[in-house]
Amino acid sequence: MISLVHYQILSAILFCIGLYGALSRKSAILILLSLEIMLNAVNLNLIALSAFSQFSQEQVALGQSIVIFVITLAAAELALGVAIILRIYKNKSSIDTDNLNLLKW
Amino acid sequence: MIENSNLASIIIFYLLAITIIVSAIGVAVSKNVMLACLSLLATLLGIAGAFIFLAADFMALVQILIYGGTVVTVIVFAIILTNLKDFSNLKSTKQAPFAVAACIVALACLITGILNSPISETALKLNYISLTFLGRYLFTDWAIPFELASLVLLIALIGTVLMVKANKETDK
Repeated sequence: MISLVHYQILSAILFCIGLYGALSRKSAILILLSLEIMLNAVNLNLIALSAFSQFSQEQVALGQSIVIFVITLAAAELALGVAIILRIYKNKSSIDTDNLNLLKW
Repeated sequence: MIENSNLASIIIFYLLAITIIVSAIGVAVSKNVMLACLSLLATLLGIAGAFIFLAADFMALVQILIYGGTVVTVIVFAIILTNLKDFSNLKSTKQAPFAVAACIVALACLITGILNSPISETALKLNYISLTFLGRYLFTDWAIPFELASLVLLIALIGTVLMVKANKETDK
């Protein structure tokens, strides 16, 4: 029997894998990839919660609407993130996060 | 209401879960940057499959179109436009052991919370809503946030173009 708890645990595992990638990667683009995985884990959790609970139709639509907004903002965030990375690459010829220490003293 | 208690649905769920988790690990630890990118694509398609399995077919379509179609393409372009030499040694940083510890602690907390929450055990049937209902809901109750989201996308687009545009004074 597949129930809500299976999806919640899958989503928790996915979120932690994304967290590990975001914390341990050196390249800025790969950190962005890991962020996308974390956002998708949240989306999966939202869809599973709205699909399984004995809610009204409007509450199911609410869960799916939030996922639509998360996907929209994730697309905007990714576009801006890639633009910032390209800008950093133009100025410093590297996207290694260890070299980005301008604000360190 | 859709029942999903037969053997086939259990097998499909575990196949999807294994695909998603293995390819997500591939994104997080892969030494090859293109392999990481393709693993991300596999993860996103697996999640789209999970959305279909959760009777959210429109969300699966959106997931494949936006993530599979656009996000992966943008990331491949970002990889092409930056120096591939930066990806030659993809060793993880010195903080990798701490990252592992933080992730294990976070996962333990999340799973404890999930197993102790009362909502996890209750529902065993799937709710299905039609695309018509979702669209009507989105354009009546959530009309203002919907328009604001389009504004956010416009601002992000303009900001991206301004940021990447060549600036003759600052660039050498």
